[in-house]
Amino acid sequence: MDQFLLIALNGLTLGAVYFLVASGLTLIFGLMRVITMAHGTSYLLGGYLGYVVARETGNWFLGALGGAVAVGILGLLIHQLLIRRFQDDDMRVALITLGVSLIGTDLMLATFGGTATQVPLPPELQIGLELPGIGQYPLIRLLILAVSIAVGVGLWLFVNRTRFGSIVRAGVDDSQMTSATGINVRVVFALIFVLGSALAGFAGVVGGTLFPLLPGQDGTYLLFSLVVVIVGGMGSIPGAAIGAALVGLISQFSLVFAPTYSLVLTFALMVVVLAFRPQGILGRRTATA
Amino acid sequence: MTLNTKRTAFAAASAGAGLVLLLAGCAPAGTGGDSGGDSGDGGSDTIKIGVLATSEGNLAFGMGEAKAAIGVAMEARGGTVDGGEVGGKKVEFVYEGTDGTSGSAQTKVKKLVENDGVDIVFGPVSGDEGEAVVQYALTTPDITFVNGSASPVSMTLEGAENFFRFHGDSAMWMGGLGDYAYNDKGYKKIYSIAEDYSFPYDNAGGFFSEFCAAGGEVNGNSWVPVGTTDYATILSQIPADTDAVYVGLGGADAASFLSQAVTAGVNKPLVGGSIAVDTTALSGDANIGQAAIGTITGGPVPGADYDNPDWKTFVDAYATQPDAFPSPSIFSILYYNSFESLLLGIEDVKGDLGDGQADLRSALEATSWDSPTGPISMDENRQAVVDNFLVEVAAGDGGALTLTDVSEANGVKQGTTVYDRFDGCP
Repeated sequence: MDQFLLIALNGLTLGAVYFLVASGLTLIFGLMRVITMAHGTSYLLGGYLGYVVARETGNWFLGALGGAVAVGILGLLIHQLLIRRFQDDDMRVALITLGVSLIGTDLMLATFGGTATQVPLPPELQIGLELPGIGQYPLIRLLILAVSIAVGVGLWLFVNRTRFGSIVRAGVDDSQMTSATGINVRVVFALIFVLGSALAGFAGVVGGTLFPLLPGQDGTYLLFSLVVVIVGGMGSIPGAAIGAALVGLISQFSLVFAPTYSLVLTFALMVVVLAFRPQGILGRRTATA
Repeated sequence: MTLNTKRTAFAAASAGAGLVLLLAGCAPAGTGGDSGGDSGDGGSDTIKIGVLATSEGNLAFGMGEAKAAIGVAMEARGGTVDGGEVGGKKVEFVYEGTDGTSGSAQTKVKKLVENDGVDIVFGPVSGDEGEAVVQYALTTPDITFVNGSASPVSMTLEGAENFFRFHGDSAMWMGGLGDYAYNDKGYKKIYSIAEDYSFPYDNAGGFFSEFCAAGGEVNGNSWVPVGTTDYATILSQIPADTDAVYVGLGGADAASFLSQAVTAGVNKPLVGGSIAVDTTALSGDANIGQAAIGTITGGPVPGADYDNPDWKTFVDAYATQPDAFPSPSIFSILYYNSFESLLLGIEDVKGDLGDGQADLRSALEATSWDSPTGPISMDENRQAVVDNFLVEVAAGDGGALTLTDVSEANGVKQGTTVYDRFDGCP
């Protein structure tokens, strides 16, 4: 029983990292329907920048802020210069962002090298916490779970309960009509893209504190966040949370019971969900038939 | 309209995801192909060497280490990492980066031979890649293959007469460690955590066959997929009554494991696989000291206190290379010993690659020289007979981690047991 609880908690805390990465993607890809293949690159770049800032200043929070802000600004540039003109041409946007990610990957390899780095964490946080029924558990993983729940609740409130959120949803559903009411949809979309990129950068710093940052992680996290967003339902933040938790749990349980198949099982989850609920677990069914 | 947009959005997303998967398998690593490759090379006056090394994945530093090794050997001959003159012939290089999987090694070795028209292939880094390259070597008898650092036992037992390995296999690297762990360290029960591919099978197999023969017991095995970054669950599997944990992980996987072992408060002594506590893991930023100190391991890398003038010369030359680690990693050492052996062979035949490279191959079969890590000679399978080292991780000056020598074995020969995945004792 202890064992089961422990693996479940490991799965949820791993899912928390996946959720942070995927929450940005669910805004950009799920909500705005902009296919970005550079999301994993944003994750890795955010992690590296956070690592540099945290190492130089000795302050983890400055690192997280620096990673998020810098990647957000870079996202704005990419959106304005490369994506905006072709926003309705999905295939072209996918290829442009794929190009950006390939260039970014090699630039990062040249700059930060091929060995693993990790964002430094204050030693006070590198301790275990006594949990009932589990025993010693790393505090940092619980903190990350808390951060990720806070980000999820905040985003949900933002999209579903604020005026800006309703403008975004209106703009996605019918951008011409929304423009006609006097709202500058382009600015709204640019802001969402910045927010989505900044979340990826922030996730990079958080993920890079727990796990190593190294070339190849960008592709891994892009794939996992696509799985999370597709399984959870495009554009749904609670959906992304459920998707992330499922992916995290499957990967941890399979690591114990069927290690060879852990990656296969993660993708099998996506296959099963798509077969029985093509719109994802909490996705909206498209209105017309 | 909306429906249409959504449908194309989905199609584009699937196409994009497909591309990512494809790239993950055989990525066009941009670090490769930055030299050579001009089609108008002067035929027999130029020797073109294709270099395979990892530039992505958990061994992404492989290409940097391969270039450092080539740099040291070429600079000693007045050349550079981009080329120079050896045995009176112009030598040039085509570099190709892989991601450490057999699929990408296969794609890149074919490109080197079939598109770039190289005379000699030098590499690859990882075990699975090596097995793929040997299979390819069997189909291309006109090209000579010199292994980089791939070390599954089986590679030199396949009968490829154009394939040479100038370093030990991964079972040889563990020689002596099993006895030492059982008799000197007094470990009776060891739990094994290793990556699930050919190199750790042989590496762990070499260790545990000796450890079990001495009387030791394996109280569990975790075979984890390469590239696993979250070890929380694996760490919780370690039984409380185990005396030590065998860590058959490498590169980034080893660094993640060690840093998470510290956070999770694991205080069992560790026995490292040959690439678990090498300089690439020890020089990272992760806080691993607490877990790593006292770890014993075996392999072709001597400790910092190894007394051999050739070793000192090599370490000094290595330190001048761009992106060098604080001390040479296992990969730069193996790439250097292999590449220097190849260059000595080319010099021996004065760059003559005629007659299907027959003279060069005879010269390589007769290789015998004093490398920075001891004498290298060849057996009848074109597999090297080498020295091997047992080392222990210790805290050096200023808290940095270093390796110190425990003992060394001279003239270690290859065995014939090929290991597969095993539970308990192999």
